[in-house]
Amino acid sequence: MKIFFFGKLRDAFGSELEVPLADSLSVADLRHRLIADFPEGGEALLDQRVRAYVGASLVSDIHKVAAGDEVGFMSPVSGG
Amino acid sequence: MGVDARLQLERVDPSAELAKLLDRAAGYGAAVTFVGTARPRTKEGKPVELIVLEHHSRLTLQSLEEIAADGATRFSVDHITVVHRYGDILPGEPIVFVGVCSLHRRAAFEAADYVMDRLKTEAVFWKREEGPSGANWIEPTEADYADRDRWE
Repeated sequence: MKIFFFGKLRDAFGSELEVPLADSLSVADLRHRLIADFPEGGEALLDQRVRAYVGASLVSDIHKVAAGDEVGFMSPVSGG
Repeated sequence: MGVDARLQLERVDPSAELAKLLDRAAGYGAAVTFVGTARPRTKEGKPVELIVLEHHSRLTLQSLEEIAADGATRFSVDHITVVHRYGDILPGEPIVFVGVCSLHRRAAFEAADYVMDRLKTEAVFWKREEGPSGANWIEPTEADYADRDRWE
């Protein structure tokens, strides 16, 4: 599964990661797995303002992701 | 008439956007505009050489369209324009143009205010100030979230 990172999260994770995924898991589980893999700065994913999307839709932490999904984590967004 | 939401790399021309809005506003009583420009200094007063606005290939325009459409519906205004830049922006350059036309002024003022509060906290951009002292990500402040929450 390909995971993209945006904004400040890129400082910890880079722009994208390929993560092997055997079973589907929730967005919350994915956050914790990534934090375990990236102890340096990975805890930024625990910020509740960091939103996840799958495809073109924002999703909640209980959403299940599966291999083949395009998942992104977005630092707090700000326009204007 | 309707919603005109655009995302662009090139400079925003507020005069040209205002002229288009006024053409559309013919027959209506009110046109309100807001232009947000890049600040030359950080909150701490340090010089800013460049603001970089990163965006998402699909979600950014989608967020602009949704916010503009919500503003049009909520205040029953006849037209809303939102033009937002992405990429490298120099201090003083416009970042965003919001224009609203409606029959009466109150709805136009409120719709512009609402659209800006939502753009500040929900438009899908990541903003970085770059200057002699390095680069710094800019995230919404508590005041920005409080401004948006006024509309809930």
